[in-house]
Amino acid sequence: MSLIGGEAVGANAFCSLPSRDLLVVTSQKGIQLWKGTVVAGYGTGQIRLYEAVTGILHAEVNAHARWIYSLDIAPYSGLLLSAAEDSLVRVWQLIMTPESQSVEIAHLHNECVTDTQICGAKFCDADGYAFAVTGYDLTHLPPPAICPAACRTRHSQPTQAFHNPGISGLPRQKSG
Amino acid sequence: MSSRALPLLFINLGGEMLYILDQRLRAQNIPADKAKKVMNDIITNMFKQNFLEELFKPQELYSKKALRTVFDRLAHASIMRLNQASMDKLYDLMTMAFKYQVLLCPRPKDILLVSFNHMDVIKDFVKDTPSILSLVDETHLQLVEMYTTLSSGEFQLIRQTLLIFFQDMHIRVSIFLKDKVQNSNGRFVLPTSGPVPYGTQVPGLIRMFSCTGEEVTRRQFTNGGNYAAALREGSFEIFGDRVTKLGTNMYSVSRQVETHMSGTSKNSSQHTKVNVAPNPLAKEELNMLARLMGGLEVQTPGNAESSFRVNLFSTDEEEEEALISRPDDLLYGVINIQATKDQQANAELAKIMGEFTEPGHQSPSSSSKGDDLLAMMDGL
Repeated sequence: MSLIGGEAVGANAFCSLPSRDLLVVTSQKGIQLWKGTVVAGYGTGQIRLYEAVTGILHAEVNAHARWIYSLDIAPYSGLLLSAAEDSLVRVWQLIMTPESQSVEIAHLHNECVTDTQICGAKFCDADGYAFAVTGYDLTHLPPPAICPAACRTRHSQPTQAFHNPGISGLPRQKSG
Repeated sequence: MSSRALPLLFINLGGEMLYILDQRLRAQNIPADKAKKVMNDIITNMFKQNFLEELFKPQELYSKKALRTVFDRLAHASIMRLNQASMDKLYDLMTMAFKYQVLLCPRPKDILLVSFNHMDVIKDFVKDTPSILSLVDETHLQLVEMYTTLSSGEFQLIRQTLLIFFQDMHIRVSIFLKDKVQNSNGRFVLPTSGPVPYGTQVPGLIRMFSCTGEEVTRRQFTNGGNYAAALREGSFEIFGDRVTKLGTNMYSVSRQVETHMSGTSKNSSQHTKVNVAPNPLAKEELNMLARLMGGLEVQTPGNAESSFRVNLFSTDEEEEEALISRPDDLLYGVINIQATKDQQANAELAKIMGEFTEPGHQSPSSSSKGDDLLAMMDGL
C-alpha cells in the first residue's frame, strides 16, 4: 500500500507500507516513522500523521507556508522537528494515547532562520535536546540551537531553564 | 537533477536580457528603428527553430561558462555592440533577477508562470512583426505542451536544479536593494508574510481525527508570521492573467540599475570556487555549443554605419573602471568568439566563422566542430 505518492514529498521520495515492519525510503527526509505512525511532510506545507498499518489519517496540520523539506523525530521524547522553505523550523510533540490507540500532535516552538530556505533540519540527539539546520546558499553551518525549556517538560526535568541562542552564527538580516 | 531545466533557464534569462536592453536602448536615445532592429534580431535568434530544438532536448544544464558564451553570442546577434564590462554587468543583472524569481516562487510550478510572464512581454516586443511573433507563439505552445502536465515534484526538481546553478551568486543589484528585496550582503529577503502559495493553507490549524474519520479536535498555534490566504491561481494557457508579478518587466527608463560586487575582494579570506584562467571548455561542451550556435545568424560586423555601442553604465569612464576593478572570482572566463578584421590572417578562425550561418550563405558541413573550436581556443 502506497500512502504518499512521489510527487507529494519530492520526486525521489516514496513510502510504501507492506506491514508493521515499515520500510521507509526517502532521499528528502520528508517522512518519518514513530511508534507505528507515519509522519509525512508535504510540498503544500502540511504535516499528516497516518497509522502505518491501516493508513488511517490521525491528524492533519497546516504547518508551513511553503514546501516542507525535512522532518526529524527524537525517538526518546517523541519530539518532531519540521523545516521548510518558508525559513521556519517548528518543534512539535507527538503524543501516543494507548487507550484510544491514536496519536496526537501539539505545537511547541517556532524558530525562524531569517532569509534562509531551509534544506535540512535534524535533532542532534535522541532526546531532542538540540537541533541543527542547513539551508540554501549558506556559506557555513549555523551552530545547533538548544530546544527551549517548553520542549523538555514532557519527558525530563531540567534543573534550569535553557537560554535558546537561536540559530546563532547566521547573521540576522534587517530587511528594512 | 532535472533534464528539463535548460529551456526555462534560457528563456527566462533571455527575457531579462531583453528587458534590460530595451531599457538601455531607450535611456541612451537610440533611434527607434535601430532599437527595434536590435530587439527583433535578438528575439529572432532566441526563438529560431533549430536552436530551440537543440535546447529542448532532455539534458543537463550547461556550465556557467557555456551559458554565458551563448548569451554573449545572442547579445551580439545584431548591430548592437557591448564592451566586456557592459556584457558582464548585463549578465550579472540577468542572472540575479532570475535567481530572485526562482527563489521567491511560492510554488515550484509558479516557475512556469514566471516563464509565461517573460513570454508575454517578449510577444509584446515583436507584436508588429508577425513573422517573429509566430516564432515566439510556437515556442510558447511548446512550453505549454512540455511543462503543464508535470507534477509538483518534478517542478521542485527543476527548481532545485536552477537554484544549484545560481548558488553562491550574491551580486547586489541597486533596484533590489532599494525595494528592500535584497539585503546588503547580497541575500534575498524571504518574507514570512503575505499570501501563501496556491494550494497551501495559512499555517496554524491542527485537526485530529477518530479512527472512523470524524474530526475530533481542532487546535490553533501561532505561526510566527503574518500570512494571508492564497490568491487565485495564475493561468497556464497561452493567454491569461499570470497573477504573479515575478518575471514582469521591472525596469523603466528612469531607473538606472547599478550592480555592486559583494565584498569578495582579492584580499578576502572567503573564497568561492574560482575559475579564472581561460580554460578551454571540455570537448563535449564545445560540440554542444557549436551545434547550438551553428543555428545563430551572425550580422556581418563590418557595417559601420548602422552598428552602435550600448553602455550598461552611465558613462564610458565608469564602464572602463568596472572592467578593471572586477573581482577575480567574478570573472566569467568567457572566450570571445568574434570575427575581427584580422579574419583573413587567422585561417582557422575564418573556417569556424564560416560554420555559422550568415545571411545569404549556406553553412558548409563539418566533421567535428568540437575539434575545430578546441584548436581555435589553443591558438588564442
